[in-house]
Amino acid sequence: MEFTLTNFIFYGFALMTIASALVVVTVRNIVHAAFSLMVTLFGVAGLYVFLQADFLAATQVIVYVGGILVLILFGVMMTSGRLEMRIHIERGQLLLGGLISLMLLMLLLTVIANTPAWKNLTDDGTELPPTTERIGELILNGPFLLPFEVVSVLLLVALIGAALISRKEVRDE
Amino acid sequence: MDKYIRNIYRGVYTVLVGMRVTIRQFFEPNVTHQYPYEHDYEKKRNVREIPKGYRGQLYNRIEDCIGCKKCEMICPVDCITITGTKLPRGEQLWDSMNVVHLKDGTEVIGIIEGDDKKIKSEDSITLTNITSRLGSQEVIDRLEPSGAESRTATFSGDEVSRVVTRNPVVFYLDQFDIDMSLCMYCGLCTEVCPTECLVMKDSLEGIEYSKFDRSDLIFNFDKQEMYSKGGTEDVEAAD
Amino acid sequence: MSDFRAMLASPHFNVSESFFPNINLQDGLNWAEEFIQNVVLPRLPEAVASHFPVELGTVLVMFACAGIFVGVFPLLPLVLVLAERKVSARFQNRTGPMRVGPWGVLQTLADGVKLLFKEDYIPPQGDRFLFLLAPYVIFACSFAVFAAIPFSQSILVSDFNIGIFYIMAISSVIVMGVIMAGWSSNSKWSLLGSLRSAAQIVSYEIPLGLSILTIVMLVESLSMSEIVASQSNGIFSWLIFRTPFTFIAFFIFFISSIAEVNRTPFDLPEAESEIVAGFHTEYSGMRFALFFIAEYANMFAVSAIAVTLFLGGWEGVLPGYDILGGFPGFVIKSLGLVFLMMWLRWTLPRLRVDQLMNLCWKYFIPIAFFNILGTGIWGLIFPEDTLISTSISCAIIYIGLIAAYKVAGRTLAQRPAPQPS
Repeated sequence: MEFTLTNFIFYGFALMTIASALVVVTVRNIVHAAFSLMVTLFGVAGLYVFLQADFLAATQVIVYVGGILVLILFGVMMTSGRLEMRIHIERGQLLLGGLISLMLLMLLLTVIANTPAWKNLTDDGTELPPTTERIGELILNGPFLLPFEVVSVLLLVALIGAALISRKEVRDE
Repeated sequence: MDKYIRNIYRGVYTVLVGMRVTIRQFFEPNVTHQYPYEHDYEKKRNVREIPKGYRGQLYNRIEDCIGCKKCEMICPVDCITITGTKLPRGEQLWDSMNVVHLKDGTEVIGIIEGDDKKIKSEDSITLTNITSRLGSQEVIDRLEPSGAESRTATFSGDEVSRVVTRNPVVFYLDQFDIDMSLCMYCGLCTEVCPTECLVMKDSLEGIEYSKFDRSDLIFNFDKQEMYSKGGTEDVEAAD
Repeated sequence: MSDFRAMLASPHFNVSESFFPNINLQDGLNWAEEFIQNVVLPRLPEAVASHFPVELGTVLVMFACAGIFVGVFPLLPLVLVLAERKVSARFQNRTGPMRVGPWGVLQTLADGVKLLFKEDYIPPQGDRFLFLLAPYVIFACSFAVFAAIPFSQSILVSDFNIGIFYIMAISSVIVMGVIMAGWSSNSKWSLLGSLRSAAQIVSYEIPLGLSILTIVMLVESLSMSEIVASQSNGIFSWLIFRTPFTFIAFFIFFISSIAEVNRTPFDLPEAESEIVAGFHTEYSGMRFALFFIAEYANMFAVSAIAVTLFLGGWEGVLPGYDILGGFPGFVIKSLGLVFLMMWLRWTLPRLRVDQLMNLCWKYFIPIAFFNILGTGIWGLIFPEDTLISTSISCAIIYIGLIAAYKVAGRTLAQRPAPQPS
C-alpha cells in the first residue's frame, strides 16, 4: 500500500466509522450510543466525499445528524429515565438476528463482487463533475420521477397524520 | 384568510413601529454621568446640585478656633481629638500686632507707631517691625529700608481700609484631628461650636475625598507654624 | 441587459485587489510541493527520499492555513461582543464599557483574560466526557461554516460546488453540540435549554432552507462563488431585487437565521429570566468563552451568508466600481445586518414557545413554499435575467410596499380586540 495523503485520510475515516459503530452496539449508556452514532454518520459522509458524491455527503449530514439523530436523542431523553441498560436477548431471537445479519452480509458481498469496473476514482487524478446536477436530472426529469413523487406523497401523508395526531381537540359548540 | 393576512400586516407593522422608537433613542444623547471624570453637573440632565446645608466633610477654620473642646465632647463616635497647650503666666508667643488692610487688598503686619491706635481717615499711619506683607510689588517697594530686619512704612489714611489688632497668643492648639473614617455626619459638633469655625462642607470637595488608605482620612487642622513668630508669612500665603 | 452591462462595466478598477493581495490556497499548496520536490528531497538520503511523502507539504500548508483561520476568526467575536455592548448601551442612552482602554475598546480582551483564569468547573454528577466535548463540537462547527463563505474574489478558503448546502449541513450539527452540552450538565436548566434550542433550530431550518432554495432556483447552482457572480451587475442584479419573491425570502431567511443563532426575540434556549443561561448554565471559564465566541461567530456567519445570497456578496452597488464592494464592502454589509440583529434585539421582547412555533409553521413555511412556487413561475416567464425582468420586479416590490403601507394603515385602524392566541 502506498502512503499518500488521500489514503491516510480515507483509512482514518474508515477506522472512525467502524470504531464508532462498534461503540454504538456495545456501549451501555444509550445516550453515548446515540452520540457515537453521530460520529459513524460523519464517517460515512466522509466516505461519500471520497466517492466524489459531495451532494450525498452533505445530505447525509443534514438529514441524519441534523434531523434523525436529534429526533432519536429527543426520544431517549424524554421517555426513559434509565440510561444504563442490559439488553437481554432470547435464544430464538439471537438465532433470528444472526440469520438476518448473515443475509445482509451476503447481500453486501454480492453487490461488491458483482460491481463492474470497481476502481479507485482518484487514482488517475481525474475529477468527476459535480453530482448535484445529475441527481436533479435523474430525480426530476428522468427514470426516478415516479418513485420520487410517490415518496414525497408518502411524506406528505405522514406530515398530515402527524399534524392530525398532535392537534388540539376542537370542541363542538 | 383575511385574518391571516391581517395578522401578517399587524406583525410587520408593529415591529416597524417598535424599531422606529428604538432607533430614535439610538440618536439621543446619553445620560450617563462619567462621575469621577466629569464634574460639570449642570450640563447633564437629571442631575441636581448639592443642596445647601449638605453634611459633607468636616472643616475647621483654625484661626477662629478657641479650643473649647465642645465638639470633642459632643461627638458620639469620638472622631475629634484636640490637645492644646497653655503657656505659663507671663509668657506669650508674640507681642500684640497690627494688621493694616490697604484698599488695594494688601495686608501689612507690623506695629503701629504712637500710643493712640485709633485711625482716622486724615491720619497717616507708620508701621514698624514689619514682618509680613501680601500684595502688590508697588507697596513692597515702599517698605524701607528694604531687605532689613526691621522695616518701616508709612501709609496715608486714604489708602487704609481697616486696621485689625492681633492679640498675643498665650494658648494654642497642638493637635486638632478629625478622623473622617469614624465620622457619622450627625453634625452635632457644628451646632455646638461657639465661633462657628467648625463647619461641614456643602460643596463638591466635601463629598469627593475618598482615599486609598484609611489613615489618610485623618485630617489635621492644627497649624503649628501659625504660632511661630517668623512663620506668619505662611499663614498669609495659606489663606 | 448586455448593452447596459457593457456601458457600465468599462472603467474597471478594483480597490480591494490592491489592498488585499491574492490569497490563493492552491498557489500555497503548489509552492509547498515544489519546495519539497526541489529543496528537501535532494538533501535526503536515497532510501528515505524514495519513500518520502510529498503530500506532507500539502498537509503542513493546510495546517498552517487552519492555524491562521482559527487564530484570526476569534478576533471577530472579540470585536462583535464590544460592538454589541456599545450598541445596546446606545439604545438605552448609556455609554457602555468605558474604563478598559480608550472608550473601553479593550474590555472584551480583559473579559477574555478573566475567563481564562476562572475555575474550570465540571459537574461531578454529569457526564464528564460529553461535557468536555460539547464546546468543541459547537466551536468547530460554527467556524467550519466560514470555510465556504467568499469574503472577496480572492479571500475564499474553499469554493465547494455545494457551498450553501455544505453550510446548511455543518450548521445543523451545532444542534448536536447543544444537546450534548445540555444533557451532560445534569442540570434541569441545561436540559430544558437544549431541548428548546433543538426544537427551535430544527423547526427554523425548514424556512431557512426553503428561502435558500429560491436563490438556488434562480442561480441554478449551489456554489457560493457562482451565486455571487450572478449578482455582479450592480444593486438591481442583487438577488433580493431579482424577483418579488426573493425580496420576501430575504426577510424569512434573515428572521429564521436570527432564530437559528438563538438571539432575542428568539432566545428561548438562553432565556436568562426563565432558565438561567440555557444549555451553557453549568459551563464556566474558557469553556464558557468557547460557547460565547461560537455564538458571535455564528451571528456574523449568518449575516455574511445573507449578504452573499441576497445582497450581492462582495459585488458593489454599481458594476465595475467598488462602492460597497470587495472585501471591505462585504464586511460593511455583513456588519450592517449584525447591527439590524442588535436593533431587533433591543426592540422586541422574547416570544413565547407557542408563538415561536406559530410563526415558523403557520407563517414562514407556507410563505416560503409560496415563494418557491412564485420563483418557479417567474423563472418560466423570464428565463433570463434581463433589464425588463429586473425593472418589473423592482416595480412590483415598490408598488407592493406602498400598497401594504396604505392597506396596513386601514386594516390597523379597525383593530380587533386582543385575544389570546
